[in-house]
Amino acid sequence: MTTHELALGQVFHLAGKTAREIRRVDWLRVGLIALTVLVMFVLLILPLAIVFVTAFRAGIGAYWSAISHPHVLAALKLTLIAVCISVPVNVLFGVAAAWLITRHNPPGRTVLLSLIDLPFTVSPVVSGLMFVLIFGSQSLFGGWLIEHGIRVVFAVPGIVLATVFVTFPFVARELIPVMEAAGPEEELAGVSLGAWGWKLLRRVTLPSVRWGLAYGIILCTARAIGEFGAVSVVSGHIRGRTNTIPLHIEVLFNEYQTAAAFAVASLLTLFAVVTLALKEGIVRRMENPIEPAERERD
Amino acid sequence: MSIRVANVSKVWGSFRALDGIDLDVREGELLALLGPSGSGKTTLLRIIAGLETPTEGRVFMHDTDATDRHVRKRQVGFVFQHYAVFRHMNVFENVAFGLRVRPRKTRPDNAEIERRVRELLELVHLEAFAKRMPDQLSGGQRQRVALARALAVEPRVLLLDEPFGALDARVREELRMWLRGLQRELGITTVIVTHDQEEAMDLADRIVIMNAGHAEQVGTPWELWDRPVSPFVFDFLGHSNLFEGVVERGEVVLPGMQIRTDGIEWGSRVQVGVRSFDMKVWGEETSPCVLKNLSTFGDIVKLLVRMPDGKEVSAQMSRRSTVLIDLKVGARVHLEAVKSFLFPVAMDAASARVESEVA
Repeated sequence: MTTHELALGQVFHLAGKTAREIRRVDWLRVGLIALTVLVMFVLLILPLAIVFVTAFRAGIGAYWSAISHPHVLAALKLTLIAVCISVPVNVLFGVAAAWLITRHNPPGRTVLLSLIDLPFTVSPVVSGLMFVLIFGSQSLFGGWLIEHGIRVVFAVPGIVLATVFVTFPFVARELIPVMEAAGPEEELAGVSLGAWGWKLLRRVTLPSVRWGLAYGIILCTARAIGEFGAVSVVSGHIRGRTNTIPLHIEVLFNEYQTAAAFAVASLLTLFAVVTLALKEGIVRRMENPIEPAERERD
Repeated sequence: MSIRVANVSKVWGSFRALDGIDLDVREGELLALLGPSGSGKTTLLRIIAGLETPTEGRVFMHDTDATDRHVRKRQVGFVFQHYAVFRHMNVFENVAFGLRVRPRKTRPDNAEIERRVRELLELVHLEAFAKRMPDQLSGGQRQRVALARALAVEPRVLLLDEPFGALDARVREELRMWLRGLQRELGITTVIVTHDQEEAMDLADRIVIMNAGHAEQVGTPWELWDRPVSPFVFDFLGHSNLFEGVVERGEVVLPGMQIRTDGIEWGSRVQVGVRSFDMKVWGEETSPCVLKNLSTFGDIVKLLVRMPDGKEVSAQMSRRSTVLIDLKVGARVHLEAVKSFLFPVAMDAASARVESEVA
């Protein structure tokens, strides 16, 4: 065998080995993908399907009467009130906090950042208890409020407060990195061109972070609708008065009204799916901020 | 509008970014602030703009004290290094911004805004791009949008912070010449910050060389080139070699090299500056200096020579020079400076500068 032939043989040998290796890797890939699909099916798709199947098991009529029950409608209304107050409040706070932290480098910036994160780290149950301790009848402040006819705990204000607290970080946390990345130069340019205050905020700052803001609002809304722990502690579970949707689902479930519980749950699930779709769309816009005109040209 | 900066200092903690700067910007001139990064040139520009407040000193605009005047009332157009074009507005809206945010009383109507923006877009050669979004433009185009936007509010001073720093060399040179023409045409007082000595030389009527928070020298490009007051100025303008030695019999003699210093016969220790164009090189077997590198750019040949003490000296000559025939990398060469700048060591450089020239 000449050297040349030897070399060729080695090449073929190597090639064969690589092909075998590729086949083996292929099996590994198929295995991993199968496992992922299985896990997704068992943990995500199956439960999701069960929610809808159980909800409709007793028929459309039963489903409709379950979700149009006065208690459910009251819970829906309360949830909407909590959302409609907590989201704007947190947008206002989030924009202000992000602006302060990224544009003015305040002393104690790190402390401020940790404080914003506090609702993430504290268990929702503890947050709820906190409000009971502050506004409950045992506390001095709470006692004074009750004397003057203002009920916070076991009433709508408590639920709103708890929701605001729990959803506190979402908008600020989304905006801070976006504003940090954008830098202050566009705003400085705006100022040097004569814009300031409200005009600057509306025409320069907010539009440049609009997708981050939208993302924060969606996360904030989703959490406000779904919040269970903190609200559960301050609500007192008065049916038709202080039950939000998630709380009402639990009540129905505990009373073995499975079909009704799942019917109401399907509303939340539907909302979750919509949120997810919106979120995906926004994330895509944030990562690929090309304007529609450009896309048409492609 | 003329600008006067009087004894301005800026201190951040223990760092003095600016240390008692005095400066006059004349009506209609183009002044360049030139210096290495950290020399305080951008800080000075931002203080003139009102984006930064000085720790001490005052800024006068048109002979009135403007130190405490807000940026938006200073009538300055500011152009940032990274354009800072509004990414969510198209080119037209970017340029129109300064007019649209005016209070209702002084705001021009839509037709007038349209007319003014069109005019400016024509001026910066972007008429066809009015509807484009910034991310559909090249860097040079974005910077032209930023410039048109700054000019839209009819500023009385134009301030540019390394406006071409983020662009590639060819676009940079093109825009530089275009800006020069535009500035002459409009006659607007302009201050430009740059770290590129060629850019400053090309553009400016006068240059301020900044070093560690103070103005090292102010003058026209030729004044700085011909009469640098310090080794720093000499070195910063480029193509330079700096040596240290003692003057004896009208020469500074270093191993393998002689530098004539006509005008001074005997002296103390000096720093000597020699431009690479003024360095004559020829082959000499017995010299301790070695030609280390030889590169050609167009008609110019750049030579790098290593002295016995390890110091590297740069020289330049025409490609047509006959001396080049003998010169190969690794050859022994002798150096002679035909023109040099002398700076006394440890003395006030400005008062004791001596220049010598040998034809």
